[in-house]
Amino acid sequence: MTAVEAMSTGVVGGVLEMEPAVEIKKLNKWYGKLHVLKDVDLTVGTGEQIVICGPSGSGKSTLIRCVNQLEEHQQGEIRVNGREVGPGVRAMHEIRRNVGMVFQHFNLFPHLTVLRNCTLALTRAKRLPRGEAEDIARHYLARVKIPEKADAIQASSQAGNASAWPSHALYACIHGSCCSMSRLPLSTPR
Amino acid sequence: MTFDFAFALSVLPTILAAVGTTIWVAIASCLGAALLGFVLEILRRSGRLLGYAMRFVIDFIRSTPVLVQIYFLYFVLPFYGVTLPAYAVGVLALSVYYSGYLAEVFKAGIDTISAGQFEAATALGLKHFDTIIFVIAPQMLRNIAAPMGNYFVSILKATPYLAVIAVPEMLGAAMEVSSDTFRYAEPMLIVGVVFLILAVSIAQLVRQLENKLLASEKR
Ligand SMILES: Nc1ncnc2c1ncn2[C@@H]1O[C@H](COP(=O)(O)OP(=O)(O)OP(=O)(O)O)[C@@H](O)[C@H]1O
Ligand SMILES: [Mg+2]
Repeated sequence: MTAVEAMSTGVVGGVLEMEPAVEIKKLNKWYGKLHVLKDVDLTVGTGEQIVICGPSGSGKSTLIRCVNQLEEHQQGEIRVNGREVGPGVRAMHEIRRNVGMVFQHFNLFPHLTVLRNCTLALTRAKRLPRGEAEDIARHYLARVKIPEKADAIQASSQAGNASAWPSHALYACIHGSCCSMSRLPLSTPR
Repeated sequence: MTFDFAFALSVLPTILAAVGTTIWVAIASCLGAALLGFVLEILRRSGRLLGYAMRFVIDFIRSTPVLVQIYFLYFVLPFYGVTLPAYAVGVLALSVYYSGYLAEVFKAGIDTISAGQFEAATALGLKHFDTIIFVIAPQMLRNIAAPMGNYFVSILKATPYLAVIAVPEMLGAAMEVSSDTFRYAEPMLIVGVVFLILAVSIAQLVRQLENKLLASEKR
């Protein structure tokens, strides 16, 4: 098992500005006895796009899940937009509102339409009026070329092409830093 | 004792006059039991101490007879200066009693929701309350429409217990007729048939609700 260790970051696209969006110092994380993250240092600038890759089980998801504290870390420091996150930090939900995340299995809300999947956090967490939230969502749905899916219920029966539109749909509500866990389909060049 | 059709017809209006009370007491108790049961279940899932306390409360409610709870609320509350009308005590007692059972039903419904749903809501920065209302409750309802409907029918069938504290529901009305005329077959049969009709209607409504919830999933 290889753990993600002391990764360096590179600018893939976008502009690197001074203010770091995510700053990680000497991060250590254990699952019981399993030492998953060892002394990880990572700085991601605002506007910077990075890719973290590694073999399965190397801790990529764990690292991302630490950034919005779906997992608690044991040692080290994580800052998101300058604010420290970690176990015991109050009002984590305020920090999470500015961190977007696409889950490895999407975890979309199956009882809601695609549009409502996109607007739920905008209206309930970011407190935007419904109309404004829907405009934003429709704008992004159009950008990912699925505006006509807005009123469809996100159906799990479409697992066949699950990666096709729901992930994009959810991406539409991402406004802050974005973490996406996805397995790029190797067979279909993109 | 032979069945006297003419007599049955003559007492029908008196008994039917009480159906309204039976229906609204049942509906109010269903709403009360569902709301209270949901709150109990959510609290049971929260922090350690509160969770244990709620587990005890739910088990306690479920392991005491409903008649005992009705009498307790009716005779003991006034002792502490809380005097409620009989129908309010009745609705309260049925709500409390069945909230214990509905809490268990809700537990099963929430347990089947994948952990990813809670994580997604957390990651979006939704508050606990919003997560419960917008993410958990609707999916839970879809999972448990049928067993919840069964308990709604049980609540309806438990309304005659309230005759003991003189809530003017159907059984009470029928008993009055019976003790005046010393005829039991006709009034009891009428009560039975009306309950049957009401129970079947509830079951039908629940089935429609379930189909609707499931259809929205398949769309
Ligand atoms: N909740 C958990 N409890 C215990 N161990 C875990 C838990 N989650 C992950 N692990 C372990 O931690 C290690 C890292 O897992 P992680 O999911 O972060 O890997 P990954 O790099 O995202 O892999 P993949 O490419 O398959 O998505 C694995 O060995 C995994 O088994
Ligand atoms: Mg992963």
